[in-house]
Amino acid sequence: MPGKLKAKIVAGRHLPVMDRASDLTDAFVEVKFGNTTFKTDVYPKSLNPQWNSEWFKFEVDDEDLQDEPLQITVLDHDTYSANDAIGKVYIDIDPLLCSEAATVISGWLPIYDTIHGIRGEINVLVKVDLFNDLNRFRQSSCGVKFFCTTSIPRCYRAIMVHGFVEELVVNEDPEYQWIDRIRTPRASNEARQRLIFLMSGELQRKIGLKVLEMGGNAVVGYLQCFDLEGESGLVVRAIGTACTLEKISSTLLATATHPSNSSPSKDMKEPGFGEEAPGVPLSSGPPTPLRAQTFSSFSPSKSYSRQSSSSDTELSLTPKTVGHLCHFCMIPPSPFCVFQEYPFFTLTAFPPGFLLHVGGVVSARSVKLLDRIHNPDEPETRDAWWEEIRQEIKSHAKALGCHAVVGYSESTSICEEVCILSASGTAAILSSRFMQDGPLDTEHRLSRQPLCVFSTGSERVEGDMGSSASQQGVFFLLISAPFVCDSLKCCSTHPSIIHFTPFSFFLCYFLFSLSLCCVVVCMYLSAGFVTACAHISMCVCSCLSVFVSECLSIYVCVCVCACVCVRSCVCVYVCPAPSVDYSSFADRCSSWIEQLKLKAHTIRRGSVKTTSSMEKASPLPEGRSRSLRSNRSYSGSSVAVVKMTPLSFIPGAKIIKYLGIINMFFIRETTSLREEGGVSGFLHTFIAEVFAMVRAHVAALGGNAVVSYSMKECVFMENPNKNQAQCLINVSGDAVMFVRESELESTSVQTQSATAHTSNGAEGT
Amino acid sequence: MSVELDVFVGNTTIMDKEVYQLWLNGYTVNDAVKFRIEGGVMEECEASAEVLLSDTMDQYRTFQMCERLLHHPAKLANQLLFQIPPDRQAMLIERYYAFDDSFVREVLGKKLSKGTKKDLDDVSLKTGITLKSCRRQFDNFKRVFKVVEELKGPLVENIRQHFLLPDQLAGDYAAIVFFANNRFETGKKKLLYLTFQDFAFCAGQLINNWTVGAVDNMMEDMDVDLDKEFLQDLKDLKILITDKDLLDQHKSLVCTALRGKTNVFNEMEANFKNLSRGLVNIAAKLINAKDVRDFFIDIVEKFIEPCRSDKWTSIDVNLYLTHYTNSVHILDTFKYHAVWTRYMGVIKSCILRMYHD
Repeated sequence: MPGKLKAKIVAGRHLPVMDRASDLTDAFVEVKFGNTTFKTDVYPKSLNPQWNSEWFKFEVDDEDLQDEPLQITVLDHDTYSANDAIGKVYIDIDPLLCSEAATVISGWLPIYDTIHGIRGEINVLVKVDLFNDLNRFRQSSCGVKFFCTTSIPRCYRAIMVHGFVEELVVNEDPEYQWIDRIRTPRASNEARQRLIFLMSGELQRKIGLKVLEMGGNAVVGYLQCFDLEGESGLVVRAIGTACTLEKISSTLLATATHPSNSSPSKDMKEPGFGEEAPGVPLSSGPPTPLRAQTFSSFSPSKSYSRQSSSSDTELSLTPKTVGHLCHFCMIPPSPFCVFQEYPFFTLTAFPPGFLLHVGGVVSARSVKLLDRIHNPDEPETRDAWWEEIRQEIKSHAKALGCHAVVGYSESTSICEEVCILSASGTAAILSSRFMQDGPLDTEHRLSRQPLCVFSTGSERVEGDMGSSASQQGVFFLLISAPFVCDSLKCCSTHPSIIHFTPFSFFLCYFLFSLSLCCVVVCMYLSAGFVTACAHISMCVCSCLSVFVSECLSIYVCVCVCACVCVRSCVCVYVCPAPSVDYSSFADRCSSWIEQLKLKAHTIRRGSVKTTSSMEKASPLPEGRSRSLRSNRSYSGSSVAVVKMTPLSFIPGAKIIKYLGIINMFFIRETTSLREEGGVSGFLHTFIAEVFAMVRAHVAALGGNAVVSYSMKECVFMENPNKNQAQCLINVSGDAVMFVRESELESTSVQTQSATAHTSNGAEGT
Repeated sequence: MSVELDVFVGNTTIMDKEVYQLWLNGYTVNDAVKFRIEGGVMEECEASAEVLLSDTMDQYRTFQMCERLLHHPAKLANQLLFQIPPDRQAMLIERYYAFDDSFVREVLGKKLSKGTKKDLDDVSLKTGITLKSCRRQFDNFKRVFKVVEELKGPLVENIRQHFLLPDQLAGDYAAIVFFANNRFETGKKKLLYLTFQDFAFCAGQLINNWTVGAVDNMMEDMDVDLDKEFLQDLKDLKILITDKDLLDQHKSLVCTALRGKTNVFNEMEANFKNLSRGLVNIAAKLINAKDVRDFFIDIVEKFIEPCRSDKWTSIDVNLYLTHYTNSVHILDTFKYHAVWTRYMGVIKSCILRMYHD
């Protein structure tokens, strides 16, 4: 019994009226963890009940602590009929398991119902007492820290970067079980939501175990994805980079933020954003002609045959000569040296000089037909599919003369029975300075040679990658741009795959060139704010993907889903906009958003199969426009405010503590779509609610911001005839606590931004 | 049918004051876009009309979602759904509860019932305010009325605390509630020259002087009703007109004081008995609820109109009322000084406020 979870239900407020007769509610609360359930007393006739319960104690294994969420259900007591559920709150215990993160969860959390949305709030207190377990064969991995941020978090320093970790967990989707025919939509949504919470907990635990095995203590660039494969099941998978992190004391942090770039020993401390910018000569005119460097290939043959050849022949063929262990600080390397299977890093930001050469974008994809997963405990086929893709990526990188892939990411898109798996990253040669001793000589030599022209199949791909910093910048951007091609709907009949595959390839290629253009534009606009732009380019990408598909007038029906994705990406970007001291940047940012918005809007018009010629003629978003929202900067400094940003930092502020990962999954369904203002109204409410819940959880952890925030996996289904709609959203990010930079600094920044703003204004008029 | 899906949600809730005002005024999205284009937003931003449309739609949706919270402004501060900076919250509330003087003039003193609500389309036609806006304003009145009706303690303070309104607006609402509760007639043709602010001022006077709460702060009664005891006592003032001696004495005192000080002395002297009778009769009748309703009409008919036809200036009126009030205290047989002061104080300030064209 290595852990004790304690929960206390304090009070509720703004509860909905459950008893029409009295316009009041007799509320009580069920607190459930694992199979143990506690109940509070009924607090009669109140919409603002004060339960003030005792401490409910759960004695559990730490394995369960990681897997299970704490489930709080608020109910209305009914003497004669069954008690009505008001709503639920799921609390992820994970942040409490790490000594350096939050110690208590305390605050008002929205009570959520999958049909009605937020219905009041509940005030809870949750604590965990953990006993150390030194069992070598333990199944838990408590204490491993997770970060969504794709760079070394600001208040840590990496002693060692161990490399790529991945894991996937499979289960049957409750939505497709036989029982779903007889239960209510609410019950099935809740079953699904709970299962996904459980699965992501389990996944994190397993990844954590792998990290511990490797000797690390943290996962950076943790990227979790859900594949809703419909009838064939539900896959939750994650990738990340295992690291050994050490907390920097405040004094060290101070020095780290002002590095002197003269000596190599110092410039490796923090792969920070701030340092990167000055190193990149962005203002020095346009980088030389940029061409799309893609290196993609497909395996339609493999997928077409249902037996999904998971032959591991390639595995043995590829020599594992790549030593990719690296350490960022000048700390003597650890005595062990692991050659990992995949030299991939999910990180996108590195210390200066770390990337010796960038080989170009590598991507691989394959189209698969989904089949039922027979044994959820041994998800062999899914593992094998990804294995294939990773091997391909690796061999591409090899072909480009690179020994590592940075900014690696994986994604899928599923349409009925067809599943497209894709992975992409940037092939790179890492500086030997950062490598642990390994067979580096050959790599090193290779990198000095001018890279030659590769060709695969019919597609010629040129690869001459300069080591110029600006170009590197471009590739960083590409690194961050996730693979598009999401939500392309194709017919599910088998022969169509053949048509589809070349198309998707073409699209991809096209996109690369397009996104590159955009990226360049982007880069000019925002001189230096590389990461942020990357995110924007991401939006542009997905936007364009829809656009392009229309241009090509190929029979591809873009489902509304695409737009949802676009929109949700966009949503996220409102947050940097109000920042005070990057106002010029925010300006651009929001103008892009505005454009995107326009884009998404027009595209949607055309998406209903009536691709008018007007749509085709609509120009690419190359012109910039001043945004409607640009001047609206809220310098809200209220205590309760929780900021959200897709960036890994908060402009003008210093992150002092990481409180744990936020990883939540929400399902919302409605049977009164028209009454809620149609799809837009429904989604608007839902997104606002998701924001509210994320904010509340962050605040409960004691944080005041979410960084690296992302909203993923938006499934949106609607049936206007039945007046129904359903939407699934996954959000993730790092809860942090930040403090504004000192008075002196902020004023200087403000004056700068003020001048930037005025000049900008002059431009605009 | 094409499916329109277009949302833009911010972590910090995005709101534009201008769009908010358009929404409050009850314009449709398309009209709002037109107004915004005319307002020159386009030149400022180079955005296309479609962007503007979808931006407007987004904000309209946000406001609709917020509206539920605005009905209970106290909730707005501790709700979690929208992250709105406090200053913006205050702006939202203040503007939501703001009303048009021309609208309030139409419903002032009417029962805030469903029947009145049904007639709002006429009001809308007459005032040129959209029906939607009329309904919002009407519902605001009704909501405030319902909440405050049940509460004890000072009216204005209650409104301010429950609806987080600024002082001026809370005072106006207090007037509206007071008028609705006592059903003062304000719609008669003779009263049309009076503005809402005139009435709000008078309501303030009445609330501060003639209600139970006015005399005794410790009394746990409402500010909404007039002090019944006081109304009862007002009957005693009748002696001023029924007792012939008292009336003559009163007249001679006032005339002595005013002689040579005013240009309308002759008219005043001729009219004194009429005017005095008018005012005292108003006082004596106030015990009847029906006559309370006609309070303002009576004042206009019995006092203001005769004075106006004799071309009194407001200085004359002030002078007259001052001496009229004060000389009563010199009358030796008159005993109801406190009631007289309480009555005339309000009457004087109301008349002075109402004495204009």
